[in-house]
Amino acid sequence: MPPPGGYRKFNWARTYPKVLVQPFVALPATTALILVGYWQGRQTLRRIQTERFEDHDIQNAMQPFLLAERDREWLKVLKRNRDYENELMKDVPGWKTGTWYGEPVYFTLGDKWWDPIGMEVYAHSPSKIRKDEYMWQHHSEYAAPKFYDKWIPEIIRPYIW
Amino acid sequence: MPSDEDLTVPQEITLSTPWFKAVAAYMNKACEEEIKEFMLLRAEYQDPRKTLKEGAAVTACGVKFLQGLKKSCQAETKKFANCIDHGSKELFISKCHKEQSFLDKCVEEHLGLERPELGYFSKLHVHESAVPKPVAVERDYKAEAAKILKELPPDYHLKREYKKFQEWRINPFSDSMT
Repeated sequence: MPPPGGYRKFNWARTYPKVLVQPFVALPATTALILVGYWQGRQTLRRIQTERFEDHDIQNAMQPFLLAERDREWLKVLKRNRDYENELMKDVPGWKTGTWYGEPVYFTLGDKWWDPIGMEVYAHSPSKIRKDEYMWQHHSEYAAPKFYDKWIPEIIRPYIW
Repeated sequence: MPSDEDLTVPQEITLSTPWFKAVAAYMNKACEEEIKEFMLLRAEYQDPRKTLKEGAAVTACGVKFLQGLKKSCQAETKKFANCIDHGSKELFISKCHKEQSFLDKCVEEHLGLERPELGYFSKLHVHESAVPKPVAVERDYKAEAAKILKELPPDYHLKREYKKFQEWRINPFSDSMT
């Protein structure tokens, strides 16, 4: 049964929310903020793209000098490899440097120049160097020794870094 | 293979990246003829052995430019290079436009070189070379094959070593993997 005196008073009338900002102010303000934000985003994108383009542009400018130097160094490396191979396979019968027992590696090359693959270039170096070059298996953050390297045993060290 | 003599140059360009980025635009503009020649021939021959002389000329021109630059604009170049070095981890030039303008003015004054506008090095440049274009070697494979086939004995078993255009990925009836 209801308590003596009845239940306390309860407001069941319709209540409207209090209008803090009028719609004729809120809507234009929102639109303006949206437009400004969109413009700012496009501006940032333009700035980043220009920055990146400038970097690529200046690298294009550097490229000829680097290419000339790289050609010379590459040929020196290949010559050293050829000399190593000549020395190693001196006494093997039927061996011609740069071929597989006399048979050329490519069928249709003729006189055209073709760069050897990574395995061939680093054939006379420890595999660690080839992996560092092609798989970037140095320390991922920076390529110098860390303080704990001296405590890793000799047997495992070449396989970790 | 070229000799060791061909592969050595009296002086190589030994600049680190910030310094190289600082001077690259002017260096490229100063050595434009040599560079165009070298790049054209390198792209046409696709052979590093054939363009060693042009490469050495490019390096020599760069070295000469750097020696001239050192005499006249050493301080501005140093400031610009240090600014690039400390500006960002990707060594962007966009952080150092002020120092770049100082170097621009200095180079224009002393060496008479105007820095090309942004995008100059990404455009195509036409270059007429005195060297004729290399002729592509066309080999007649059928004739070469016919010659070899003629020399074979008449009862020679020709192997099915050719590959089909579309292979079954898993073929239970053949020895090979495909």
